Amino acid sequence: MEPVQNKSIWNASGMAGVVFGFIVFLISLIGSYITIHSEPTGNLLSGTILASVIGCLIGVFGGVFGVKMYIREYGPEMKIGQGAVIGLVAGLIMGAISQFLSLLWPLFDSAFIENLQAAMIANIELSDQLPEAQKEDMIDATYTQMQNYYSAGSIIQGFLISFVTYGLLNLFSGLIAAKFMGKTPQEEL
Amino acid sequence: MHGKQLLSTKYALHPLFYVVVLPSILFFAFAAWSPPLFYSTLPEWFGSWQKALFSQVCHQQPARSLYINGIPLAVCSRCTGIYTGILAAMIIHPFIFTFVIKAKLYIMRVFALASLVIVLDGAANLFHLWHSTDQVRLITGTFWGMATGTLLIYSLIVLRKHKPGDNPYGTRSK
Repeated sequence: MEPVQNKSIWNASGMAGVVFGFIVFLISLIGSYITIHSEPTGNLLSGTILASVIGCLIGVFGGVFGVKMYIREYGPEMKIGQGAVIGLVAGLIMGAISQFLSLLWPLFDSAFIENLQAAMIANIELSDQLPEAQKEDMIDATYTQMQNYYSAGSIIQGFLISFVTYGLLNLFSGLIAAKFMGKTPQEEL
Repeated sequence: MHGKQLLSTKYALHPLFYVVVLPSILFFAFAAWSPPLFYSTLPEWFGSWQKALFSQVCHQQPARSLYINGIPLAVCSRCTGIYTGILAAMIIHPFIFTFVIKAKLYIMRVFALASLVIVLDGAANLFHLWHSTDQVRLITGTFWGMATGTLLIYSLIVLRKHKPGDNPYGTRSK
């Protein structure tokens, strides 16, 4: 009688979540420092915004990486639902780590929030893409957002949005990866 | 008596499609299009939950967004196309289900082509090689969204398990 192998998804999704959480945070941090150290040009597509979008695009591969780790550990036999769960858990861990690190970083660089706020507002002020009224609204919104960086509402919202976006996107990438990289059992319904 | 087995009776979509994927896509598409329904001024739009929801996945530049009644949608024109395209693929999937089952290679090729188009156009705009209009961004986004939606549907196709006594051929047995 063959020994029953207990296949746990935690190693694979945990590893994927931690690795990609760090990557997403690093990309976001690099983008923020590019914004801080660049001369304001009036281009609203700042390094911060661009980095968060690029970070998210890379973050989607967390689910794929998690499925790959699972296959390396247990072999390619897996159900689509397992791929989806691996992706979902990886995405939740990724979101939590990237959010936690971004809350932690201003403790190491105390002028980070102030510098980032100044750089973002300077870019909006120089922009010729928006009417004056819209510029004022954007400046007010950016100022409020940065001033509320450590408010409870802002922190909870940040975590929730990370969980929803990274969780669902990685759930999708995980189930696609399970279909294409794994061997799904024939009968599922 | 047994005719050719209908593919649509042999295969089905995994329950994940109905429980998670379709509701999520409906939610994202609604959130993307809904700001003009709820807000009438830009400050309201800036503080909206829709804008916050997409803040980590889209640049949301008002200058690159579609407007309805003077209020921008929650995402840029390309992302509007993406969410709409994915939703469109989900809605029309019953009509293309048989094609999707058989066309794995085409689906992957179309997805690769759509990804190439969106990356090239995005990069070219970023590096100021050319400037795409909102219409072009919307079309390339919709193309990629439909390709991604079809890929998602393909990934969720599984064999239908027939119970003993079921007629697996989709033809009425006497």
